[in-house]
Amino acid sequence: MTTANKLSIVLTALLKRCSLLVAFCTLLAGPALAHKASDAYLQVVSAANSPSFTWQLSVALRDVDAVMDSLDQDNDRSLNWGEIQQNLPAIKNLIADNLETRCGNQAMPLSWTFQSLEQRSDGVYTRWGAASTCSQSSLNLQYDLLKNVDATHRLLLSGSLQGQAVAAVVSPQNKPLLTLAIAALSSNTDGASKTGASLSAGFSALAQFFPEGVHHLATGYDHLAFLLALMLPIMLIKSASDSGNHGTPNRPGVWDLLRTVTGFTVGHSITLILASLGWIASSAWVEPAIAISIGVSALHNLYPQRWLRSDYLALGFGLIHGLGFSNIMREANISDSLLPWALAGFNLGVEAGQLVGVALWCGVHWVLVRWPKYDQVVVRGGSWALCVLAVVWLVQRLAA
Amino acid sequence: MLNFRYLYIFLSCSCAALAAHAAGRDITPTKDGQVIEVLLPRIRSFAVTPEAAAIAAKQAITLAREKADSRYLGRAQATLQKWWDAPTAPVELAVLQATIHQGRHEFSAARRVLDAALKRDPSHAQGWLTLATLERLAGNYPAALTACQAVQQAGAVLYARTCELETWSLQGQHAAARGGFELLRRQTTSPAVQGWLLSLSAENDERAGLDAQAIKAYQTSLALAPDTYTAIAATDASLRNLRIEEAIKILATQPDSDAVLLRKAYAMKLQNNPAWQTVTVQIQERLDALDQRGDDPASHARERALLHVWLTGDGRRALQSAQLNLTLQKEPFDWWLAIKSAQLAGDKTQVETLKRAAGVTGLRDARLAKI
Repeated sequence: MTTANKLSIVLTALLKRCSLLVAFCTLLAGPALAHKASDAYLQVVSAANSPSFTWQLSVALRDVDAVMDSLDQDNDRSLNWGEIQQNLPAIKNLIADNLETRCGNQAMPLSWTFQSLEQRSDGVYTRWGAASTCSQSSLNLQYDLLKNVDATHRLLLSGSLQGQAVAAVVSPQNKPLLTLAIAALSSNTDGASKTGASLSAGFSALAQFFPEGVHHLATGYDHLAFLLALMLPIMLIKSASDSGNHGTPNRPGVWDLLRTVTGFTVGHSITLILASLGWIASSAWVEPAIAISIGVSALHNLYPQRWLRSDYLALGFGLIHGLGFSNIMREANISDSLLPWALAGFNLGVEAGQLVGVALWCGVHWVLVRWPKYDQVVVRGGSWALCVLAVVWLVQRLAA
Repeated sequence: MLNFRYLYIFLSCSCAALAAHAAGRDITPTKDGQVIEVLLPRIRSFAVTPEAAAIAAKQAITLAREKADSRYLGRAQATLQKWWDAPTAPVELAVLQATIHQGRHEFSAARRVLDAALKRDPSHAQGWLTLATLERLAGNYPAALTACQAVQQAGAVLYARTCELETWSLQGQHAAARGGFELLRRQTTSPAVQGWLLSLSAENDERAGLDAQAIKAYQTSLALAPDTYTAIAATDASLRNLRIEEAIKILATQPDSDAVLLRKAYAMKLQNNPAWQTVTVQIQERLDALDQRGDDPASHARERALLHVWLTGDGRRALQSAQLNLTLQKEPFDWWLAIKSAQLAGDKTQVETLKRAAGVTGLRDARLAKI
């Protein structure tokens, strides 16, 4: 038996196993069960020397239901999106009534904005965001949610204050008060907290949103999938299967790659900026459209159309992806004066993440392109796989 | 030649998994009618009278057991809030408080509350029965028998008898216990009671080393009156005898509590199914989430020890957790877990010490003798 044959047997066995594993993990992503007592999660973040705090609070729908009869008005014990939307103002009031925040001794009510629904290990949560400024030496919290309904409910606080990690557990029944010490802020940042636009506050917003951008791109698989669909057919070096062209556009091209990636960048930057400034708004069609953009680009690899160039596709669909990015900026609820900084930080983060993705792909490409079956397996197989993925996402995003 | 079929299957599965994961974090509903969450049955938490509070608390405790959902224990506690820890609370409510402590593995708190309540009303059968369970759990078999007698005096004959038979069984009187359970079973026609008695009889068979008979009894019991506790016990017996398919079949009917996930992962590992590693990560995440709450680490030490004995193979950590668990509960399974952990850690002295310590309590169990 040749080495190549042995290798292919091993690879086949490995793929078989991995397929089982991945298929199983997909099944595991089913409905979650409450294996633990009830918790809410509060995250607070402030950068070093910044008086600005961003807050995120996640509260389980099952817990809201325990104190709010109106949530499941028809009492069928099944909660749909319509019922939740109707009750968002009431949930907001519930949070405001049960989580009191003070800056030093002064009341500092947070204005919560609904961000998203999120799936956690024990059910679906509503996530809320808020921003505040405080230049005192301590933040004080009082948390009373579910006080009379669930004796073991806890608020798990985490985050970083002035760059220092914090973690605490608040029990509404036994220990509802929490004081968080903040390292002393220099006096000029006190002024900044009032005008909100000093250079240091600006840079701190930029630094704060840069990782957000990287994170959003790295975990937003749909953006990466789209980028991959665009990059798949681009040949950076001559492939071993160059002669055996199966209808795939086999163009040479560092320039192609640059033009395509730049097109995507320009496209999504335009809509991200416009949406963050409030001139245009993202809406329900954006997420399904992103799924379609992946499918169209992958199909274009399989059945190329002469009149349709990859960089045009990248630019056009980039506009839609930018609207997708903008959701996170809208949710962050940033003050007008800091918005340009945060926007710059976020966009730079997205670009940095994108460059890492492109570099990784170039590495993979470099290794695989010498394989005689590269065109058939990587380009065509990969494009088919992306088509499947696009359909799955599209169905998920459209389905009730 | 590389088999492309599997390449495509792999790619499609990966894509589906990515999609599922991406949807798992943030949920973006597209239609008003889209179902987002299935809510739990409602219980009335603002009980004013002790009678109403007792009904609500019992309902919550039952739901906590049935759904393997700890949230309900917190809700049960809230319904009793007015009487919680109050020295003058109605005995009925104090006994329920002890049951909630027991459900959360806060055994010393449970005992403290029960002792005080039974002093005030020595004729409370449920109180004595719960105390007997706590005594058996602590390995105090003579004290358990005394509590069983008090159940008898309080007039709950069937429960008093099973209480006694269970304790005898732990002390090694397996044949007498089997005969006793058999007799009780012939005296009832209720499938629920029959199922319950069969599960007790099955546990007795396991202690006697009659595993095949035990597994059969567990299966009949589950068919008559399914419950989570019996399902776990049946799975353990099947897994110990490498009857993996049977174990998996039972686990499939159970809600994914931490105990169930541990056994699922172990069964997969025994079958060389690589997915066991993913489930193990999931279990670790769950245990970490529990730690984050700052609860007593001993209350999940059994699960941690099992994680290491069955899945990670880390003997040192297993033994640490198993010994912590023994400070809390000393059921045969806990002794077995500690001895297995010591064996895995290569600590022969500890194996012998643990075996002796188990013997000193009066426990006689074929499973421990076999290790």
